[in-house]
Amino acid sequence: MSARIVLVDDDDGVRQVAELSLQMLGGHQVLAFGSGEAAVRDAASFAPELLVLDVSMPHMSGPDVLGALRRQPALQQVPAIFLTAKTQAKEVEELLALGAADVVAKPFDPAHLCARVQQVLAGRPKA
Amino acid sequence: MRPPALPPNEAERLAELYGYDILDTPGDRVFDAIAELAATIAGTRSAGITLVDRERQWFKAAHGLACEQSTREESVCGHAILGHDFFEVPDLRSDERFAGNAFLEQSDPPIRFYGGSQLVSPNGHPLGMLCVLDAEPRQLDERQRQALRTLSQLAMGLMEDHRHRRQQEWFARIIDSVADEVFVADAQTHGYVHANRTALDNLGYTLEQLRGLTPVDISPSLTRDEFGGHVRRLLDGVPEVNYEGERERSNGERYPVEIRWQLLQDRKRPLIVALVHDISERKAVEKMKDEFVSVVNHELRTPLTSVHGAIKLLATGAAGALPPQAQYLVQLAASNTDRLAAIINDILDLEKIASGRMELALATLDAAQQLQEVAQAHEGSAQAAGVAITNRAAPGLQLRGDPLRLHQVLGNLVSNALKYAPRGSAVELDALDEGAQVRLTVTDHGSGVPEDFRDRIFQRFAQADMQTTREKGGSGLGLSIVKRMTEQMGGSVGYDSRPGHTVFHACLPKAAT
Repeated sequence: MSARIVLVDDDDGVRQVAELSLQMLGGHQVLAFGSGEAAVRDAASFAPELLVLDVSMPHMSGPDVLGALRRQPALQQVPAIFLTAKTQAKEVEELLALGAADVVAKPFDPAHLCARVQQVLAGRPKA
Repeated sequence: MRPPALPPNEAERLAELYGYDILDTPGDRVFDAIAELAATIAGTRSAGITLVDRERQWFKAAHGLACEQSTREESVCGHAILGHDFFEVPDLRSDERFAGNAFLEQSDPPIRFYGGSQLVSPNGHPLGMLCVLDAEPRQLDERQRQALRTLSQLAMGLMEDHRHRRQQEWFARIIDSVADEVFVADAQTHGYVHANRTALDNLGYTLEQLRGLTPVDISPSLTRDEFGGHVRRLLDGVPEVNYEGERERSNGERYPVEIRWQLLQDRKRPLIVALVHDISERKAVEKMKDEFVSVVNHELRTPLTSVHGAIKLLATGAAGALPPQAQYLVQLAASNTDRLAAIINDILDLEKIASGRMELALATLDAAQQLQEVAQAHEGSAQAAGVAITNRAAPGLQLRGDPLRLHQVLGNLVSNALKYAPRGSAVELDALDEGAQVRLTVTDHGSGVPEDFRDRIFQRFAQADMQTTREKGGSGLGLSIVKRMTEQMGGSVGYDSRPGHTVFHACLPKAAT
């Protein structure tokens, strides 16, 4: 199942690896942003079916970006996956409580990331 | 003239005298009044209260006498303390002990009569004399002697008071010089009774201001009920109550503290005493460490994520098929980024355990099922190692543990076993009922734990040798984490090893049925 995915990560390397993983392994169309501000400005025009957001970013954190995107009428229902280096059970719970569909720990396996994306797109309950 | 002999137990007598800490103290109106009263009662020109020091007699009070001290050799009091109770010499000049005594002769006018009652300490040591002196030979009557005895007891009482006061001053000074805050409060009203200098300085209150307050007033996070509970526990016999809290200075500033309350029980109205340690510095260091760990975590993980992801993408052939040699190199790099990621996770886990921030979600778990899940998770690496994982545990044995952490513990033991198990052998898992505990075991048939490694196997960064690290991978943190995590879940770990048969176990509390 190919989907349109908006990806936001401030780290060039991580962003490119995630983008390539989603494109090459998942066959998805990816629009990648290096900052939350840019994503908030331009994401809606891409009509994404899924958001993949880094958590720790300067200026606008992943949760901030999610909040701002969710306030846009077209993006209210779009599921989101967080990428994070913080993987304490409590931190994961907090991210899920913000309305994320899943949380993927860094570093991730490209195949694993694609599998989680697939699960969320299929509307399966989160693991 | 004959100098006085030394009383028996002179060393003890002097030690006791020095304990009063009264020698060379300034004049005191009450001692002076007693001396004056003694002269009046005896009808003599002068009177004194003397203390007999090692080499001198020293006058605490002198009435009608311009004298602070004299040598012990020339002192009449030196002789007087050798006798019993009262000492009287009607004419000093005609007594061979004092005839030609320069001190007596050179006084103005010369001293001819001496009468005095000993100052006897509670331990029975004569420390000095209350004496009356005159320029003419004479005798006291019994009523006068009795009155002087009473006055000497009064003087001794004053000495006792002086000693207590000095001791209190000392203790107060010692307590004031303690870097921790010390408080005394009433166990019934909770009102502060006393506080040391450090406490008053830190809080910015005077003692009078503090006496109108209770611990609840200066601890923003402490409720009246909570503190009442602490005090009740002390009154119920709990030896001490410890907690961390916050204090509020008179200017509204707050600072973190560690507090220890104890009960002063030997009183009708019980008092409670608090030692309060300012932990601002410790908290600041903890915060710095947390920030450091968090930064290191992020800074290490971010580039690792790129490297790891890029290599894995290459390895999957997503960027095109690789020639066999390149494929081998990429696999090598991929497995080592896995290892690096595991080391970072291990270090963070250890840090969380060490700082007490490892969160546990305890649940009732079926031992066999947990082992099965761990076995399945390691199926891939077992196959790669040519080792079979056999789970012998029968379902039904329930234990208490955090499923995530238990998986980490068992996973660590299983992957260790797989590292050392010879190709073609089996790693066996089992669960044994041990009464209050469930013993989970992981057995391998490798070469066993080397003798010289056994006593440090659960220490951090312990590995049998560096060669193993390179050959087998791992951070050297695994077993140290296994031990600490298991202990946090209320359990214990251990092992039994001989060549060909090594059993690691984790014992966890059995679930209540």
